[in-house]
Amino acid sequence: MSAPLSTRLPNKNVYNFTLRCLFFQILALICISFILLTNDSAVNIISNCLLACELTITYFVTSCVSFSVYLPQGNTSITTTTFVKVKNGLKGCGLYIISILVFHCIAVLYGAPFFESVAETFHFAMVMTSTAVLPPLCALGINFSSWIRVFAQNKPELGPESVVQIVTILSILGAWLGAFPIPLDWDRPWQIWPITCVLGSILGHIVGLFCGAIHLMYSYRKLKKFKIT
Amino acid sequence: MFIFAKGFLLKRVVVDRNSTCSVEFSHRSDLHGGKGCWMHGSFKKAIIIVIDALRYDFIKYDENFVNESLPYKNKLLFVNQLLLTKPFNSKLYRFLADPPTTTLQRLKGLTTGSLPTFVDASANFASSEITEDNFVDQMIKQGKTLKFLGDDTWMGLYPGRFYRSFPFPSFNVKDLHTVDNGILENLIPELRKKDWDITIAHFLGVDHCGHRYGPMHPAMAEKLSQMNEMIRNVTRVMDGDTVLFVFGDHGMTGSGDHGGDSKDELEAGLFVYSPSQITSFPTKDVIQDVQQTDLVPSISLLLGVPIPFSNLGHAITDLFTFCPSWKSGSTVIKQVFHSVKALRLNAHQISLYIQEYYKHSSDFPINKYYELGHILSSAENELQAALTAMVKDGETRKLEEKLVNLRSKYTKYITEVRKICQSIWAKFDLTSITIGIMTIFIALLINIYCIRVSYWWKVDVPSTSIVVILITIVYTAFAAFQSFFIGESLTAFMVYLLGGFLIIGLCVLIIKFQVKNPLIIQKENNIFTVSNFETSVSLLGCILYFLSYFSNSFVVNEDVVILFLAQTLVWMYCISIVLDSLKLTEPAGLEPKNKRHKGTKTFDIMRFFTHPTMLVFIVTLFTSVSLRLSTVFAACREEKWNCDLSVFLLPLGNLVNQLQSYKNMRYFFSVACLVLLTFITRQWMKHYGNLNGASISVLCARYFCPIAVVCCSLHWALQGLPPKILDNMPVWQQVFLPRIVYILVLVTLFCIAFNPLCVFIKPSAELSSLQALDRDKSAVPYLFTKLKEKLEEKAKEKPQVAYGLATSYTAAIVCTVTAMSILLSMLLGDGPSPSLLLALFSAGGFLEIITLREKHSKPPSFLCYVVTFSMMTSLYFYNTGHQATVPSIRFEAAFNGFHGDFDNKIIPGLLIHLNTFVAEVFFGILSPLIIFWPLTEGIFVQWILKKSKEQEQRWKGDFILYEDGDTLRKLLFRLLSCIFIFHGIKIFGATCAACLHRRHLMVWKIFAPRFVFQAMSCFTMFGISMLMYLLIMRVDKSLDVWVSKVSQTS
Repeated sequence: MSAPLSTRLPNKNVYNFTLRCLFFQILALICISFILLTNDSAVNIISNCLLACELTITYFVTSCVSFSVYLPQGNTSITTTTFVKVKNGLKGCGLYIISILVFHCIAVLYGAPFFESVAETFHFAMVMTSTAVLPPLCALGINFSSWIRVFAQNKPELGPESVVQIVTILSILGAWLGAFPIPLDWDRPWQIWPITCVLGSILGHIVGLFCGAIHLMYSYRKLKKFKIT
Repeated sequence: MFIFAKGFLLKRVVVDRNSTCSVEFSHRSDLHGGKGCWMHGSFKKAIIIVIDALRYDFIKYDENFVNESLPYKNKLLFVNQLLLTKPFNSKLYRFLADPPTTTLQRLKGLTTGSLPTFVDASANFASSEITEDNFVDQMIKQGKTLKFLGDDTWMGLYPGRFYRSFPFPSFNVKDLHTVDNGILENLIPELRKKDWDITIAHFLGVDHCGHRYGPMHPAMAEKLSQMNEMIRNVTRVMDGDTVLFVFGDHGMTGSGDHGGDSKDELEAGLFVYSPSQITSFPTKDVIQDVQQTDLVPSISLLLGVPIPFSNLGHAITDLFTFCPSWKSGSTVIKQVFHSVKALRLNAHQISLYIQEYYKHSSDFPINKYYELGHILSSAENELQAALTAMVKDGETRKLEEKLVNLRSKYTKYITEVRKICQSIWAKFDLTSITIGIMTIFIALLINIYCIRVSYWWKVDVPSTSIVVILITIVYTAFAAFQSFFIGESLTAFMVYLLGGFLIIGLCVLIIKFQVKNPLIIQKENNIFTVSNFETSVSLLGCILYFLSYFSNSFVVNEDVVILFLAQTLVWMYCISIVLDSLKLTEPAGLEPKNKRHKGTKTFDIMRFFTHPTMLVFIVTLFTSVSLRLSTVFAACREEKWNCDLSVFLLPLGNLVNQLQSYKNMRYFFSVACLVLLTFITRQWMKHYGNLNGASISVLCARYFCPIAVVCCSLHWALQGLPPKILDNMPVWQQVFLPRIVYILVLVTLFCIAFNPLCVFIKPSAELSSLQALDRDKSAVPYLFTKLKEKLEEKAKEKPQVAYGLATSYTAAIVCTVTAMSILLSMLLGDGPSPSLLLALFSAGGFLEIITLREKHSKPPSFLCYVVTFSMMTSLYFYNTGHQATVPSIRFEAAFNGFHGDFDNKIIPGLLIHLNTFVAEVFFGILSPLIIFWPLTEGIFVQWILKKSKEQEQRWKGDFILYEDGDTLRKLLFRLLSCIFIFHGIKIFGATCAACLHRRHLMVWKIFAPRFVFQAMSCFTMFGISMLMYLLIMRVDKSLDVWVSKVSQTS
């Protein structure tokens, strides 16, 4: 998973902020998944899947939104009115909801039951959206062309964008891999439909964050050296 | 190239056959024990009544049960009455069959007392004579006369043994009454005649009723009541020295089938009755379990006949607790002693058998053998001691204990032996297994090598490949010779050596090819560079599928797993195309996001929907929705406990009253789907102008297919009638409609094979008027393609128009698909046939995706296409209501258009095969479209991208391939090889899994059937794709003729 190097060096502020955010997120997520996996906690994912999903979603939404609010705009910052901000925020919410529905449909298409456990599937879709769509939504905004640039043309700017690209891909991959243990006959309580996929998605997210951090540091150093020499 | 392909394919088939037969299972020595009468018989005569598929809960009376909703409950009231009124004269047991629960295997087990093996099950429905020792032969040796009535399987097993027999055909599942009524007419008169010692009657009605309607149908209640009446009548004519056995040879599942080893299938009922006393212990509430093999020693000893030599059963002790020759009343000790005597005889027979078996084969564990011998001899000593004690002290309490102890010892001995035999009879021939696996692997490698070679644009075949192929032929012949004619010997080593050498050589060749062969010109086409995103995902899917064969739970849930993988692949195409198109449409990469002016971003809904990205998305959605929808038609495996049977899979006539409205709905839904299927293909051909003119095949496609559809739907309607009416109808009426369908479809297929061109030439005079017509309509016009430019130059003054030339290859395939799909959906029955429509949808959608992909000027990579296509094939294998288990084979398919018994097994076999591998046939026919469809540019794409109309003038469709025959062959060859590779990988996986798990608990339930089904499906696929190859070659030839004719006339 390597995003190609862009020649632009990110702002030092942005770089530091992103790195700090990344490590904070990794820590927080590890804590959360620890809570989810311990047997006697109230939000144990095996016994109380929906609640656990909701907890994760709340965490993701709050963290991502707060980070995006505080994200320094770097060198290309422009001033926007609050009206535009609110409008963009609403559009983002709309996109968020649409993507939840899309993920729900895709889960059903991939073999999730159609009539039973609709709530579980919906929660899984929400988790997927929060792990895979929300970060780029916050980092890239609702600008369609930047989405194309990052995901289709594989040319993200170093900084939050490259991290977000890695994170999204790995989250989806994690959820995809999470589906594999379900049919096995180990008779474990966690082998029910959304649990492994939710966990896979969260784990993929963590791994993505980690990879993103390493990638960011590595390329930053390299670019800096390149610039200096 | 062509000859090369042919030779290669031929060899491949041979290779697979070799591996299929490679698993060799068991040895059995059959030596006949010619011993005299072992025990005085309690009875002189016996009546054995086999009621096929008499499940235990059919015969067991349930007092708590009052509700009338279950038609099979509490119908054999007379049995219960006997049990209550004459507790010493009757016994009821739960009769446990050994899997496989098919009638033939059960009969073998029931008469010989030995255990079945899996090979028996797969070599199923041809009954051959039993040569092993069995109680029928033993009785004849004792000078008893046997009479037989019923299922003619017995006649196949025991030809010429019966004094008088009334056999009736058994294969016709639809016929509930012929066999039973035939038996009933003759049974009582024959019993009255007194010229018999043993009478065997085998009723099939219950089994057929289960197969046809399932146990929940009212017809079952009727049938069971009839059986009840029959038992009552039989008991009336019985003498005091006659014993009656009534039992089922197996049970049935909830859907009325059998063959597997679920509890419902294994549990049958056994009822024993005699007018005189047979036991000292009346049947209690807790019903004993009795193995099916236990019947043999019991019957033999009760009638005073030697136990058959190879019996492994354990005499039912309860039946030996009363002896009519006891004068002075019975005491407990006498009872126990009597049963111990019976058991002792039984144990001795078994020990003789083991001794004999031990001499012949080395696979009996030695320490176990001695241990068992020790048990037996110690029991013998104890018995002697007990006997002397009995003579000395008379009957004491201690003695009784001793005898009971002894009895358990004998029982232990017999059950131990049985267990060991069960385990060692699953014996494998490791040499041939490894050779088989190696052969498949080599075939795979050769396939890969061939693809590699085919990228060589040189015409001549390289010398290395000739060498390789020669060596392989030698190897194959050698391996086949080794595994079929020679047993275990030293030559196996040579085969290994040669095989290993070949594998290494091929690997080296392949790698060498990849790295630095300058002769590979089309480097970018090379499918084995894993740099490509799609290729890597496809390969990953392939590998995952391969690995999934090794886990039993993945095999059990294979339908879901394949759905998952297929969806992944389809969406993978979607994503990659979207990314590509986005890359193309907005090449401005690094402009800052805020610079974009807001005014240009007006949201235009039409632009949004006609954007190619959206198009891809819609097509993908369509494909994957139809894939997902088709899972509704999937059948259940018995291992999946939480799965309930889809309503589409029940036979239509079976649906009872509360579902009446639903019945109509389903019928019309199925008919509508079938009509839609033909309509779509028809519209397609019309669109491309392939339905013009008056050649035979066009006429066939035009008129025969709708007629066939009508006949098919009428046939379904007939099948939906209540069974009573249906049975009263004359045979020809039931047979007439499906036979018309067969004839029509066959005629159409022959016409297509004979004249595969759906091309029509219009004389030039009418050209202008036609063009005017088209302009008036200005709707989707008939696409008429100009002839090849070369030809046109020649005939410039008189231009001709040929309809449907552009789709000459595709049209032939589409025609075949239409005809075949009507046939297939008739075989599938009205329930699952809508899934064929879905299959067409998803295949079409996928082809459109391919088309779109190649629009972006990407080189075609057949391996990826084939992987997805074959995933769909496997998916639709499950989603047409099949599972890779023996009981899920739908035998009723054999009775479409044929009624009654068959003289030969070929036609029903073919029909069942077609029914089971519908998906393979369907997708096999469609698979060449992978080449042609992108060239004809699918309908949908054209419809959306109408703008490029001026291009249509130059559009040639797949006619372009005619101009370049060499490419066509090469492409076809590559496609075929890819198909073979994928299926080879599948069968390789299945074989390896079956080999690896040969000691696994579930092997006979999961891996072995999976392997057999996989092999069959591979053969089907190979056969179909070969036929398609020939068809396309035929199209090519006739195009050749056609073009030369045209150029002559002009």
